[in-house]
Amino acid sequence: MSILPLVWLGVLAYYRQSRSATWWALALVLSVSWIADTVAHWVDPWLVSTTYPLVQALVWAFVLLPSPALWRFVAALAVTAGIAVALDGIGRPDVFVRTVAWTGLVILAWPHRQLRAPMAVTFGVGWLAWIAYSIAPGWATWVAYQGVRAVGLGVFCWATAPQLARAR
Amino acid sequence: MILQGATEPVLLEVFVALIKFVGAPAATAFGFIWLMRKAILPKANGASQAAQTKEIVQHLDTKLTGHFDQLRRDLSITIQRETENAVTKYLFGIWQSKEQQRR
Repeated sequence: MSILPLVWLGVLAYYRQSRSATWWALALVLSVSWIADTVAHWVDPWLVSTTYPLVQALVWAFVLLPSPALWRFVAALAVTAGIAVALDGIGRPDVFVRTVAWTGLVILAWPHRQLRAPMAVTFGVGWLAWIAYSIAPGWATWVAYQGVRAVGLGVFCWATAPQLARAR
Repeated sequence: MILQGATEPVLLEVFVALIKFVGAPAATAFGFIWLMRKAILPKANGASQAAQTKEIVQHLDTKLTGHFDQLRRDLSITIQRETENAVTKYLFGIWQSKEQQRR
C-alpha cells in the first residue's frame, strides 16, 4: 500500500505532470514502511517495526535540513535509538521511537504548506492510531491504524493530482 | 465503605494507565517539539531574519558609499584637470597673441 505514492508520481511523470523533488522525497519516506514490510520477512518483524520510523525521519531530514541542523537531528535520532534500546523490557520502545520520529517528520514538513495535510494525517493522526493500537491491540485498532494510513496516502495523491482532475 | 474500597484501586489503575499510555507519548512529543525548536532547527526566521536583512542593507550601504565616494573623487580630479588645461590654454593664447603683436 505504501508504494502507491511512488507509483502515482511515476504515472504523473509519464503523463508529463512532473512534481517537485520534495513530493518525491515524501513518497520515498512513505514507501519506507513498504520496504520495512518486505524486510520483515527475513528480519525480526518487531525490530523492523521499531526502527523503520527512524529511517523515515532520516530520509526526510536529509532532504529538508541544511547541514548543521541535519547533524543535530541525526544525533537526536541516535539518542532516541539508544533510549529505545534501554527501554526494551521496561517500556514501549516502539511507541517512543514512533513518537519522536513522526513528530520530527511533521515538524520538518510544517513550513511547507502543501505538505501539511498528508503529513498531519499520515504521521499525526497515524501516531494517535498507533497509540490506540498499542493500548488495545486487536483487529479493530489495527484496521483503524491501517485506515488512517490509507487516508494519508489518499491525501497525498489528492494533493499531487493534476489541477484539471481536481476541478472536475 | 466496601464499594469505595473496591473502586479506588480501579481508578488508580486507570489513572496510571492514562499516564503511561497517553501522557508519556504526549509528553515525549511536546518535549521533542520543544527540543527541535530550541536546539535542532536552524534559526532562520523572526528576529534573526530581520538582523540578517539589516546586515545586508548595511553592507550594501557601505559598498555603495565607497563606490560613490570614488566616483566623486574621480569627477573632482577630472574637473580640476579640465579647468587647469582650459586656463593654461587661455593663458597660452594670450601669451601667443602678445608675441604676435610684439613681432
